[in-house]
Amino acid sequence: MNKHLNLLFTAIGNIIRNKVRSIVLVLCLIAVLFPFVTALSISEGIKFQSLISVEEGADIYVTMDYFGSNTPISLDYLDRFRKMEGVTKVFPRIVGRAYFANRLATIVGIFPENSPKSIRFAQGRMFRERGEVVVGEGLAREFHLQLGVRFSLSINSSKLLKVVGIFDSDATIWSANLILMSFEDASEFFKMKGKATDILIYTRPGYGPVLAKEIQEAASASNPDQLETSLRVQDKLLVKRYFQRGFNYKAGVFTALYTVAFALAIPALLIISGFGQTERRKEIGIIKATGWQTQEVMEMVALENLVISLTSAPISILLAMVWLKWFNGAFIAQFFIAEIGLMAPFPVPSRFLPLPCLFAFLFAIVLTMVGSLYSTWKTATVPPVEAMR
Amino acid sequence: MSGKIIFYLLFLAVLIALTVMMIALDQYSWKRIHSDQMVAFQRMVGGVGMGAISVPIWNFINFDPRIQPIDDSTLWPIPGGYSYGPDRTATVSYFEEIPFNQLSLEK
Repeated sequence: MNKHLNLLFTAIGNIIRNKVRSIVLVLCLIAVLFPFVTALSISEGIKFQSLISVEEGADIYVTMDYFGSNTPISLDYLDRFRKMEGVTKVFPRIVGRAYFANRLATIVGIFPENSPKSIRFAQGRMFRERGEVVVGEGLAREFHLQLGVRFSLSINSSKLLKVVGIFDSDATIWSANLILMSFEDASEFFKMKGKATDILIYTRPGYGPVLAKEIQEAASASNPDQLETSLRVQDKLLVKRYFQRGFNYKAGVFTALYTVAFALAIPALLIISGFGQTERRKEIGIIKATGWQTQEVMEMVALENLVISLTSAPISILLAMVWLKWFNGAFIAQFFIAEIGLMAPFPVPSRFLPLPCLFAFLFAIVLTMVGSLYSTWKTATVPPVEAMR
Repeated sequence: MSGKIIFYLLFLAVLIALTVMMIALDQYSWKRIHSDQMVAFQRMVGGVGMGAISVPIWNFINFDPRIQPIDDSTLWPIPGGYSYGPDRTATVSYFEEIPFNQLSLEK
């Protein structure tokens, strides 16, 4: 035990003695690990919000299917769905997009009855009358929108809208640039009377998949006679599969990009850890000449790597935490969340789970070991005189 | 053992302890997070938004595949090309259309 402890102290002594080499190595590891930890924590944060969106969403979403894409559905279907057994609630909604000056906004039209009493706003209240809208905090902040401001958008300039509420920025990342209005207002705004983007069906527990199948089959059966286009039915199971594939299986193209970056980092560190190689060769030669075994040299270098990894991984994690929690991921969050600009208009969701942090440490140790063990072994196995030359 | 080594060991211990504590604190804060506003918002709108993008800039799929599960940016300007949506590049989510069998063979 004493021998291992002594090797550890020697390893730390080496790190302190070779300040420049150690600092360069730690900085390189931080540069590799920081984006990795940041991205994984943002991913976990968004996943948390996304899961709420899936769970609190409808059990079935019905749209029309034109040429293989989702298209607006007629409100005539509402009664048909309401009469189905197991259905608890049916409502249509409109989801569209429009430019608010140069900023793209998501327009959502719903019936005000759907708004829960517990909903809080940063300012103002829920819309009650025609023409009233609630806007996201991102839009409000960027364009200095205040309660009572009236505006129209060029998509339908005759439709005058009035800001009566501003969403709380804590809601979700998707509410930051959102304009919420009544279903009728959204219909008028997009000039799509009698149509909805989708019809949302809420069912009693366990009825969802059965009803989804029933709706799909009924639509397919009625098509040949009624010449209707077919319906597209998405149930919660399908939506959960989107979620799982979107976050768990693929985890974004980011993973692929990071793998490439990681693969490149190994040879880069191989070169970097050779920084001061002559000095290192001399060191190994001297300690070999004083009676050290190759195994002890290898253990000392491995311990050096362990200490370097134990230094750089926690620093990367703490740095990522500080950057995301205190500076709201300024400059860096835009790489992982699209369309938020340099400064996110909402609190960037980030969640630091133990496993990704452990991965960060493992990455660090693999990188340093790959970069040093082989070269150390090569030096340690040659005669000390040759190593010191 | 020199003073510098002791100092470094202490620094390492403090660093690791601080990191573990911060991770634990973050875990705790997420457990205590008042997600009621997120729940209320999503309940109100019927579920809007799923991906790591704040607005549906190029297509809806990465914003919310429930609204449009098709990446129609592959259809233009060059049909059959790769996705041109900037939101399909390096964000931390990537939604794809889930294929389902529409084929029925008859003898």
